[in-house]
Amino acid sequence: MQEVRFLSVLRIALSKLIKDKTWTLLQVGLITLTLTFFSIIVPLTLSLNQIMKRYSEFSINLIEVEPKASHKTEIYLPSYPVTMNELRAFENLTLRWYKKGLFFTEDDVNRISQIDGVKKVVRVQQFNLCFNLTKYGEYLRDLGLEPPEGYKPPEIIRTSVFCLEVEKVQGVLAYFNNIIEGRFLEPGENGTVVISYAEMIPPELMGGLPFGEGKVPEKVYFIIGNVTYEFSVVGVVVADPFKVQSIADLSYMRELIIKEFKPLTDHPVFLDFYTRVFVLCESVDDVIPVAKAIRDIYPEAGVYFQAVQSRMIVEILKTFTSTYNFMAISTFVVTVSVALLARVVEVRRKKEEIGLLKALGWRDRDILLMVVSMSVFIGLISGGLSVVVSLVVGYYLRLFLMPDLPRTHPTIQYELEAVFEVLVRRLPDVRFLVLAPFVGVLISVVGALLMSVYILRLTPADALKEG
Amino acid sequence: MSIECRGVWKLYNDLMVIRDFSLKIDVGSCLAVVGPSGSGKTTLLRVLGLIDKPTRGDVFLDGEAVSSMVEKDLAELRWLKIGYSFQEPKLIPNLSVVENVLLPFFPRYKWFEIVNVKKKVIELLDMLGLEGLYKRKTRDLSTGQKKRVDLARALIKDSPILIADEPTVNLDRETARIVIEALKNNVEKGRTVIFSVTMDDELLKIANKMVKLEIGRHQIIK
Repeated sequence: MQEVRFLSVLRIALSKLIKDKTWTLLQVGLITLTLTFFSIIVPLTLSLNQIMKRYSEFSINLIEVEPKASHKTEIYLPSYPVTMNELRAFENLTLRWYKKGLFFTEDDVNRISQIDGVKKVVRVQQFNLCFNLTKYGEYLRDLGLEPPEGYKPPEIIRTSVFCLEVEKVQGVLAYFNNIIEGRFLEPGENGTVVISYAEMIPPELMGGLPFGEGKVPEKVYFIIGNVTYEFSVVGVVVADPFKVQSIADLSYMRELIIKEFKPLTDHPVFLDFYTRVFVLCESVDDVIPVAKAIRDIYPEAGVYFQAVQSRMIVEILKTFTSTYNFMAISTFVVTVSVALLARVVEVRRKKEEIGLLKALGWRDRDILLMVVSMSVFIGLISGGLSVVVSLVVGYYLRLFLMPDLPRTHPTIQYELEAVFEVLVRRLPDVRFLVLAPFVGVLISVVGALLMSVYILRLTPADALKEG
Repeated sequence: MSIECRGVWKLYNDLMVIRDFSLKIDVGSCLAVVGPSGSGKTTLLRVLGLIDKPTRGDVFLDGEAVSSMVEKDLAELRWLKIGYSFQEPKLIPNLSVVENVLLPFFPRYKWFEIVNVKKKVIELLDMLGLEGLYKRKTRDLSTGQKKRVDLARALIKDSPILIADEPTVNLDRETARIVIEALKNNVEKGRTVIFSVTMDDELLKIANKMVKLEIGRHQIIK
């Protein structure tokens, strides 16, 4: 018994594909289309579903409260100093503002916690820390950047740090940290920080630079008192929409600060001042009553929530997501079916040809080898093409899909934007791009085999019959 | 190689095309199957060429019944024993003349072996008056040229049994003469040759056995 001559069959299969180019191109086009949908629509739908769930679960019930609505928070940030002048300024200002009730205190936190419908209150301290720019050159080198010629960075700048009770905001801020860089600011991860690009890169260098992943330093340094503390960077946020430049765990930061200022027992660092609080309600229905109650207690407070808007956005997202799911699934099913059908029709079109090959002494396995190898060629070409098309489509889709969300809640607005930015950054999904050639081959081979197996059961005479 | 039919019937739905047909063709014989259109010539040749299965009865090659064989064994017999030329040429239109003639060899020969056969194919095509058309796609050929390519594919294997369905139909006199000459050569080489014919006295001359078919009946004439 002679063996199948693989190369000879492969060569004739390839020759047939090339010479029958119209049909070949048609099938390649259809399968490419299918795979492009596969690598764009499916991950987009999955991400949307995930965002939808998270957004509903964690963001909708949140109220942000500032002690004084009319005050601009950054002006009132207390500053932890590195010079004697700054020390005095810090003591004077912080004490004065504290006495004037410009911060929330522990009493306020307790009072808000007792309002009906409040699940928990998240304390936030924002203050300035001095940033050691002697390390700045290292950041730039890590980023692969060079400062402009003649640029001299200042020795020390202040950076605002947003310290909050991280363990209480899991699912809100921590969740978004997770999304942003695939890392998580866990409770207990004390020496970690989420930083913004602006902190590392001066405005002179911001414009036009490609801030891609992998250009982020692993460490930052804060000077508290006379000691430089090293923090691991666990997340990076874009700087512009949010004024805070670093996010860290409140308890850990206070621990460090208290440690440094311990000799000064009457230092204001020991005061229980909170520049804002987040109030997480039991349910969305509690948001407005709780917000009203807070207003009643603190008439001058800035109370930010988006219950009505959240509901509206959630409803829109729900409708959008359901429609999108339906469209994605049906489009995918239709395109896969069409691609399969194209292969079925193509092989059906070759019924007489298969009959002829059988009549000439080709064994079933010879014919299957030819059909499968043609399918593999078509699948691989389609898979390769779909990778290229997906990358191009993904690029333009990213530009198109960035939403302009209503700005009703400063922090959440920022987070949503960050999430959407991440969502579209993942287009097309690398996993799907890797899978695409294999799926292309699978669709192509399955479609071809479905019809081949049927035709091979016929006698050569029956297969040779027209129609 | 001898070929024999015993009590072969062939029905297409309710239409009986061959009825209780028995015949033995010895090694080296040349059988002409004659009869009007629709008398079942093509069907009989396809049954003898193992391309179609009889509804009832059996075909024997060198005394071995083929009805009990599985498709894999039948494919081996078609490859090893039979060269078949169709009445309506069966070619793959997008492949070249040479590729069509070489079709039976692709799953059996390594590429360099196929290249060797190609030389023989060229000689055969030249002999059949197809010189210079080797690389042309068969969809661009005339009916007569296609017919000769189809015949060349049946001849190239030097099979012990050669079956040609109306080999000279639609051919001009000169080309028909070339085809008849080719068949005659095969008979002289001791191969079993079976062909069908409607009316071609020149072709009939090479046959040493003849069967005449009518609708549902047959008659062995010589």
